[in-house]
Amino acid sequence: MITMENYEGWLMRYADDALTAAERRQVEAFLAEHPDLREELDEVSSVRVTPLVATMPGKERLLRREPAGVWRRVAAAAALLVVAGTTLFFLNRPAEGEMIAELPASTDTPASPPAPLPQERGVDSLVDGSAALARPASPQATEKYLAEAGTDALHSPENTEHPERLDYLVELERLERLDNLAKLDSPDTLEVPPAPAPRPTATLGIVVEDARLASNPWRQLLAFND
Amino acid sequence: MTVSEYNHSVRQCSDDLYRFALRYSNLSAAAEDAVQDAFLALWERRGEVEAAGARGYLLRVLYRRLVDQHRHDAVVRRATPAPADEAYAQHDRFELRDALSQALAQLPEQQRALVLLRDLEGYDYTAMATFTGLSEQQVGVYLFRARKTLKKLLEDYR
Repeated sequence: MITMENYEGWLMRYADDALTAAERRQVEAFLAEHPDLREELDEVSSVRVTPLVATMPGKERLLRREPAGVWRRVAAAAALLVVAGTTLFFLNRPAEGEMIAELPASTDTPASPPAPLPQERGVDSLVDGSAALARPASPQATEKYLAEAGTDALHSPENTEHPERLDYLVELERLERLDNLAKLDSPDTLEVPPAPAPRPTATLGIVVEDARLASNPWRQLLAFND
Repeated sequence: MTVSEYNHSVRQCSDDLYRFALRYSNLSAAAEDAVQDAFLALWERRGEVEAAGARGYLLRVLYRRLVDQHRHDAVVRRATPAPADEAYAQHDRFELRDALSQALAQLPEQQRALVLLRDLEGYDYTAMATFTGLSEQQVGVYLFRARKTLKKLLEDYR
């Protein structure tokens, strides 16, 4: 029953469309009896509070750290498997030292011995049976030989007897030494070993194409994670 | 609710709660404090509160906090002598100078809360009745008076 004492609540709910059909008809009948209430109805229907345009400051500070999700756990397990697999793979691989012995990897240790000097320029062919002046096998050996023997070896009794022969021998020795040093210094004359061919390495289904990656388990892991 | 559900409600509700509190209290610092308290309460009760009921729980805590704050401020205002500069005091109390904020500040607590619940949160009469513990008819009466007062104050302001 709508009266002048309780009409406020009814009118408001009527305006807010919060009544049943039967209740609406009651309100409409009451309004027909009291036409002056139409004005109040219009008033209360026209006022609405609008939200301010504002955002909560420091919203991020209200957030809490979330525990690792299922997928993060799966990813962690997968990473662990890769580490284990890689470690096993490298444990079963020949040691690095053996690899280097096989591959002519270093530039200062030529793969093949330097080309032999022409025999006619060999010292031993000039000094008969002189073991002391045997032609050094390599430039390094020449250096060692000259450092140890010095020119003393050249001053054998027979050489001392023939000074012109001694001069010739010393000059020859010097030329040979220069020749060998030049071979050492000039990169063109050194045989640079070819870079080891990339070796595809399959481990746990991951194919590592790059030889540098293959030689470093951590780089391999990083490559996987990228 | 889970931690991620809690975080979702932070992202989803914090701005709305802040706007509600700002309309209610008219002071940004008070609004911010109330919203923070509401989320702190939700975090502590996350074991009991379901994700679906998070927004309602937050609003209830926020409202309680705002009412307490308002009453506390009223006590403090009565206890402290009014400053000589009344304009300054007004400015201090009400940060938002727009007509609607000024008008809302003059409504009784419950009327203000109901208008905000209805207009900002879109509560229906059942929800408003549950929230305030009033009957739907009483809710209608309070809303009717609140809107009438607002209308009058806004017209005076022009």
